[in-house]
Amino acid sequence: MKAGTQTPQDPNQTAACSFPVDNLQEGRHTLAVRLGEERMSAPAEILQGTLDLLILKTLALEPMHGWGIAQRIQQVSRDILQIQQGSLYPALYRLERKKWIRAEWGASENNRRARFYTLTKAGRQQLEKELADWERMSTAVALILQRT
Amino acid sequence: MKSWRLWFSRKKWEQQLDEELRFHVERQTTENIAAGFAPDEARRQAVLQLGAAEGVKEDCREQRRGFWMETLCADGRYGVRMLSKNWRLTSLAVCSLGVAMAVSVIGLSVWNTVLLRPPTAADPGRLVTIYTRSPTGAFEDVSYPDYQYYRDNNQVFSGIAAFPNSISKLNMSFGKRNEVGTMNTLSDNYFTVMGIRPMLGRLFVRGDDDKKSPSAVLSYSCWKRWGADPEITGKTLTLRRHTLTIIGVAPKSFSGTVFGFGTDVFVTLATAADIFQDPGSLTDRRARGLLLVARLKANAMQQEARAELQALSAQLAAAFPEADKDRTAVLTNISVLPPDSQSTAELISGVLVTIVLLVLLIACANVANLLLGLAAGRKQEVLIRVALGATRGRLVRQLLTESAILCAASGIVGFLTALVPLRKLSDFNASLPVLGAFTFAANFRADGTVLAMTFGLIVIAGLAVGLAPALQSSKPNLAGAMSGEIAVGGTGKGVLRNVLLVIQVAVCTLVMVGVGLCLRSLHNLREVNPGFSARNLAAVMVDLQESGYSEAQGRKFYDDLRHAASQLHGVESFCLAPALPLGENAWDEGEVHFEDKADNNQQPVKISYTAVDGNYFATLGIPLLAGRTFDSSDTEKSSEVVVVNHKLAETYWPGESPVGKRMRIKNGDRVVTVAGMVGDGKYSDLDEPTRPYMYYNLAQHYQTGIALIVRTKSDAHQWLEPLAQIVRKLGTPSDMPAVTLDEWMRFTLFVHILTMQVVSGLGALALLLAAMGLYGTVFHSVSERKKEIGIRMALGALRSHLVTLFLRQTAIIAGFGVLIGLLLGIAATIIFNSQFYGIRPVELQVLIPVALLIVLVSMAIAYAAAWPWINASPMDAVRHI
Repeated sequence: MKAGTQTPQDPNQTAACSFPVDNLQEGRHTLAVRLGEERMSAPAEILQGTLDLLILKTLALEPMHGWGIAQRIQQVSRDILQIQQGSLYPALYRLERKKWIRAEWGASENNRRARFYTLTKAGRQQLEKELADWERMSTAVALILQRT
Repeated sequence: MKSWRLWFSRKKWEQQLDEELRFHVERQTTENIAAGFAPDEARRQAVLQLGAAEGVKEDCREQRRGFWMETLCADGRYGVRMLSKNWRLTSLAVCSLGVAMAVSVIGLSVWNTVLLRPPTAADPGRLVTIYTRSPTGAFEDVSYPDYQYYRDNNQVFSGIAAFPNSISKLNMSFGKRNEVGTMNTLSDNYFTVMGIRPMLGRLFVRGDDDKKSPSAVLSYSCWKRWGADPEITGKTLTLRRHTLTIIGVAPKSFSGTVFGFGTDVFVTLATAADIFQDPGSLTDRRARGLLLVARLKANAMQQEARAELQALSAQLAAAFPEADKDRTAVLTNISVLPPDSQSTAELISGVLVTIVLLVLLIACANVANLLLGLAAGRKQEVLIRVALGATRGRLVRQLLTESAILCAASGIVGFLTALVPLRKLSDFNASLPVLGAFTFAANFRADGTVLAMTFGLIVIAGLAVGLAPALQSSKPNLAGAMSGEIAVGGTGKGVLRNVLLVIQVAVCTLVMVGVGLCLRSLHNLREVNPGFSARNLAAVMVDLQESGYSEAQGRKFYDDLRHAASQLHGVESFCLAPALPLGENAWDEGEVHFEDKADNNQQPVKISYTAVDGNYFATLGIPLLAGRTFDSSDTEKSSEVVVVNHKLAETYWPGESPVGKRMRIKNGDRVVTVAGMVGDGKYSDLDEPTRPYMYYNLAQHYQTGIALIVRTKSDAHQWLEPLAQIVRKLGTPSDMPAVTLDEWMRFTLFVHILTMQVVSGLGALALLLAAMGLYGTVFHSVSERKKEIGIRMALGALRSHLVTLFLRQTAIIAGFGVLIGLLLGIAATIIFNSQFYGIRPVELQVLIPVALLIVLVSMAIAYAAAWPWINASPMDAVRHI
């Protein structure tokens, strides 16, 4: 991320934006960004916690199973964002442990037993908070990018 | 959550995870087929898209609640497996740490009981102890009239009880039983104030003191001993010819007011005054013999109580200036010990706990060393773990779990081991020399406090034992270890172990110096010249008051006793004295005004005295330095004479002969003339400084307690039975058996001997533990260098050279440890100097033997540990991997 290397040049921005812009240290939840037709290009790492936000947002519409969530994120982002399926489930379990989502067994669209995740009340609040954070963050990044 | 439920839910949880991932793959496969893949290929792609299934699962598991507990369990299981694989080392560690733990638990229980735990009572938090402080600031008991005043005029206490801090041994009979039992005296409201409920019948209540028919309460153990009769109330028992009605039995938890001693019968203060024919104890304000315990009212604060007591004692001082002037009542938190022995108890138990913790420290160092040795053998395992991606933190955690298991096991072993002697101490009979049989009820409790402290010890020990080895062995050194290095000489790794060893040797030296000091101090005490010759002396004691003799009858009894003694075969000389020299009752204290002094207004001086007959000095071998002793011309009618000791004469008539000097005694009413001067001696303790002392004439000072002391031709033991017979024949039962003076002297050293035995035991333990540690360390450090040994041997080194090599290293370590230990020992000697007799700060006679002993023991152990390796065939040593 270019933004990461540039932020420290502007002390005001650093103060206003307190979350880590640079997440190179820990990239457990990664999203692969598909650029054009190059399918397996190096996965661009996206801000830490973004996967949580995407999952919560997706579940805000309706309860869904794991595969569904991955599929939905891919579709809505017009195939730009593709979730590494292996990192989806640990994230789901983590959110469940934090009581932001709830899991129960139900029948899938092709009538198979599947684990459906529902957004809880706490999860909804968390979603709002993370959305607000995201807004502030992207505004900040946009400001910097415009200036340079 | 119970472990089986955790396990069960985990199994279910795993099934769910499996099913969820299976569904995901199937769904993706369906999707892929729809996209045009062949079914097999579609499935393959789906699996690839998901990624490494086990990795995903592992990531999910880490998110699971209670995951850390699972790791802990896994580490625990693995630790147990590892420890049981090395069971020799493990049991050695558990044993040494367990023994140290047991000793610590005992030490802590003693400390807890003596200093922290309140005596048996309901709601002990509201109980306080009251005593008075004399004008000089010394601790003083309270007199009965003063007690009554405090009891009846205060607003802050719901009750104040009183008891003399003593127990009495006297003849008691119940039915056909006739025995010498212990009696405990307390005020009639004692049980009410303490909130103690009867086991049977009723206990004393306020007003029992005034009743015409005296009553008694039995202790639980006495009731058991006397047949556990459920109908015992209303029956009578006899104490010194006084008949008392038994009104009830005290509960098992209450063994009496004097800590550490069991009691048979409880009586009220008034009954006791009757039995001892001492009505003055109830009326005389100067007869201070009571300790008070009071219960604060529910809303009263200690602060208020203090203020009120001060006011009350001021009132008393104003009303009775001659008895109570400048005396204030003081309040302290209650404990099982009376306030005046509190500081001594603090010191003794402090020293005990310190030594015990030092022993524990040695044991910890020991186990740490063993674990280091163990870790050295596990390098391969650690390497494989590191190669598989284990972080250092994870490794440390796993190794710490192991040491925690080890320490927990030793803690449990130690705690359970400690319970046995503790239970034994809570109720046992022992025969003290001279005083006869006593029931002890120390009741050292290993309660919650001790349990918590033990747990703390386990945690600390776990960290102390495990941290160093864990940090050391988790240090990843892939390259070096993989290449199979040959350890030569000082490979730095031994440093930590050597430091531990130095600590161990130092602590061990310190404890051994303590043992040495105790032994030396005891030796010094035995060498002290008591001022008389105890050899071939025997004595028997009689209490004439108990037999109800009047003074005239008593004097007649003196003559009978003398006559009987003169008939005894083999008795060279004999004398009468109220008590034996040395011991609690060996003297009284009286105020003396010296005449012939320029200053007429001089203050009276307190001088200790006893009353003896004229043969006393010759019989005991006390040299007469000037004048004469008492003779037949000194009678009740003639003018009073005294014999003084050399110190008294030197202090008050320096440079003059004391013979013929006069002094006034008994408030200046009576004049006595000094007839003679005798040599100095020890009067109550062997370690007391020389002090002024004087002897009244027994013929002129009648004494109710009397001892017949005889000097015999040969071993005094042969005359014990004849002496006892004399007393029996004269019809005066004796509470105490006849003794030889040698026995009596040993008895006065009883506490010193006991301390010496305890400290020696701990010292032996410390030495044993240190020796074990030394052996383990040397064994391991030599074993690490077996290849080097082999190479050296192959190159022509002599075995003796190798032995010298290893012994030199041990000698350096032991030398350092001994040096530090000796310095600590000197510091300890200076701090505790008052506890020892005749000990200088640098007591070379203790330090040198201790240093030699420890160095020699270390060398012997190092030799024993290193020899098997050195003695091995060089070919084996080089090949052996």
